[in-house]
Amino acid sequence: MLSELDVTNFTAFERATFKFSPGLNVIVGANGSGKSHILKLAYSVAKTSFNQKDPHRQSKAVWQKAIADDLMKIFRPENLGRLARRQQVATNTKVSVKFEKLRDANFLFSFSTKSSTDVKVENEIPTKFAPATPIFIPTKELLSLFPGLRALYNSRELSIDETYPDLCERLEHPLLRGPRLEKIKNIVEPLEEMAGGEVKNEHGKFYMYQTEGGRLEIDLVAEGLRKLATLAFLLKNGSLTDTTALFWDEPESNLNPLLIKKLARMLMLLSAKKFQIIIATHSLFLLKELHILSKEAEANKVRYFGLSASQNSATIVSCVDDLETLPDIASLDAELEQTDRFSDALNKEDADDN
Amino acid sequence: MPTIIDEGQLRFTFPNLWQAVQYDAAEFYRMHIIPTAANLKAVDFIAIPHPELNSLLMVEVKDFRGHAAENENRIVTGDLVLEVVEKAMHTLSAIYLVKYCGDHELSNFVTKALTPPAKIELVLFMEEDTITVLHRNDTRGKLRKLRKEQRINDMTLSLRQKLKNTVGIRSKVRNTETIETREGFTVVPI
Repeated sequence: MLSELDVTNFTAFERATFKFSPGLNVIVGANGSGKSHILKLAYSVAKTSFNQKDPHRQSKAVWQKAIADDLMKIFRPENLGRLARRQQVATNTKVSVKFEKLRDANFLFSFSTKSSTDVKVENEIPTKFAPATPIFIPTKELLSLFPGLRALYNSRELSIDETYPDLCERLEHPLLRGPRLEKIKNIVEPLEEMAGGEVKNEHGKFYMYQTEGGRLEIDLVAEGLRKLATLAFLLKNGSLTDTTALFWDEPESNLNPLLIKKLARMLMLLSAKKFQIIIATHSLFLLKELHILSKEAEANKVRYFGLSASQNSATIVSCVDDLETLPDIASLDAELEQTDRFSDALNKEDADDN
Repeated sequence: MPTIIDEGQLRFTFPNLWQAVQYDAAEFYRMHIIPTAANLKAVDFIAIPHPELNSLLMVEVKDFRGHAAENENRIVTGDLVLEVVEKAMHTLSAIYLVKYCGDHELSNFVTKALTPPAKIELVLFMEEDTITVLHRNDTRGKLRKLRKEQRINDMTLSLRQKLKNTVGIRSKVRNTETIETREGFTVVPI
């Protein structure tokens, strides 16, 4: 489990520390404040750590190349130095990665604005590794794009970042059976109920077996439901476990308010079962749902990271465990402002009538 | 002389030329309606903004200051809107009988020919605890302000859905912060 990410001069951040909780973490911020960057960085380093497990890969040079490769494929900058914070003078970016109860897995690396693909590992190379490969669910739903996307990515130059083929790879795994499946039944069943059915991979194409009967091509299922079903499927094929970190960028996209409510329950359910989840969101609706749930039971905990960006200055990060104390929520300001205008519109109609 | 009526901790002042009556306390309602049909509800005030009866205003007052929690549920479930709509409909039906009962206080609220006024309006005057946003990072304050304002908008919409295209009654939700001069009457806390 990722416990801390400390960045210096990374994209929009001058200096920021993210102390992640072992449960549900929510990154909130306006467009351009660096939400997705933190999500992708955390995913990238967790992925590197897991992949370095191989005993033949234990040299600094291999580590450095692996860190850089993963960053390049996930962020797709023209060169690595583009991920350094833009300033008048050349700067040095530093990233420190810490894992929960796995001190020997921690690592620290740096690169400069001028770096094309080189990173430097600053301390001894780790001797322990992330216990499972992390999962990143991008904003776009993938079940329907699945057939052939990974093969295409491996054979052609595609302009998509590696989070897409990575997720496709996880979706290819066959379903668990026996006691391992039995063990997660109590999580999978409510998820499938929310998604309205069970997803199956039949010869490389996904189908939804609906709770009320009937089998639908995944393309015919509402996009919001596909996202919920993806999560259930990843649990059932063993890709998502309580040792896997789950990263989800704007999980609310394409979901109507009713489904966002279900999504919030789903996230809270997983977090209560000791899954580490890190999401980035714009949705005040989702934030409010999570806040409601957090007041329903002691076990429902959420850690919020508020990213405040102002023009030409670095993003400021605040970390709180209660939504009501999280400063500067852009979507809340937007909603308040709209409510005011909406009241005016209602009053106008009423004045016109007079 | 303006008409001044106190309703709980709020003082309503209706201008000189208006006729305004505390309907739920009026003799007509107490002595003629209740004994006949005890379930027939009443709004707090009825008023005629001009000497000739071409419009009629009904005001229902809800003062929730200090009682937010007890009333939360009625507001959210829509029960409050239903109750207010019912009170307005009952009031309108009942005052049709004013002349038959020989009531003088309300005699101007119906025309001789019993033709209804050209415009009927309902104001739900709902006073709630003031919410202040202390500074730009006061998320707690902003969330509460948002909830309050959204609820008022939702109630306005809900009242209009019930009253506008169906029976042609205009409606709005007001409080001491949102009442405007064009409303004609004023309200202050006492």
